Amino acid sequence: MQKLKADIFVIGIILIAALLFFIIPRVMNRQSENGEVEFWQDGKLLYSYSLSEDRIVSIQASDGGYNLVLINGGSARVTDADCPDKLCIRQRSISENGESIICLPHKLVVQITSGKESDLDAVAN
Amino acid sequence: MKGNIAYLGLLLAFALILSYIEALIPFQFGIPGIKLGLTNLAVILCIYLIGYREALLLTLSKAVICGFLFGNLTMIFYSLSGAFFSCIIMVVMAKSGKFHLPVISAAGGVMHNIGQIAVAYLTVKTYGILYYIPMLILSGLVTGILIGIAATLVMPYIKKVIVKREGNL
Repeated sequence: MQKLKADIFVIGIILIAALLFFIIPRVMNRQSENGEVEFWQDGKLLYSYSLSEDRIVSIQASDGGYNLVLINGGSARVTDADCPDKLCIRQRSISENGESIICLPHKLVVQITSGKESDLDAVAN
Repeated sequence: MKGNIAYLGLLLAFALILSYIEALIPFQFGIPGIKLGLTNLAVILCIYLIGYREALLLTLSKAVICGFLFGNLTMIFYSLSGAFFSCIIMVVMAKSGKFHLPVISAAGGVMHNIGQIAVAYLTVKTYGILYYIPMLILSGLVTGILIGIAATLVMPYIKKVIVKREGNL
């Protein structure tokens, strides 16, 4: 009986540790959002803004059109555009490193880049 | 000690065979580092049947030899640190005599994964690795308990053999 109590105690500690390690990175990551929103047009980088500052960016296209990009609460999305297909408005908002919104008619790419490396590129087994 | 060396060699061979079998079993969850940890069986048997110091020796030599046989140099560092922490915690818990074997083995499995991820973090310095920790802890817990149960079942038979042999010597 004494042994069983000690067993349960140890397993409890292990489970709590797992839970802590599950929660901590997620909470910390939320606080340190240091991603950048990059605006590329025709293969050239126009602007780069921080994800953590809310703002509205208006981008003029070469054909006279425009895209409005809203950066809000750590994510970015296209709120308005006068491109013919409006696909950029329908794409979901982006917040993770590498995610992008593309407006083909205006040759615009809105992409998130992050200061930190987000993924492993190789794994030794 | 003289008799023990033979048993240690036997257990080391046992551990190597187990790690070979483990390499054959496709047990992949898409998360690096998760494995059955069958070789832990040999370490547990060594802790209970031979001794604590010998168990540590077995663990370290097992990690190095396994690394050269089935892995590479980086893998040796990963498994060395994992095996070292795992063995230390199991020896401490076994010495205290307050825990059941499956729980000791589970703690060993968890520490093995934590030791490995610590080295992995030091080498690649990638924050993203930390996201794997909860999965690694849980998998270490589950596989550790399973290996512990297996060890509990096997122990009486091996004990019989070892005692018999010593009687003959």
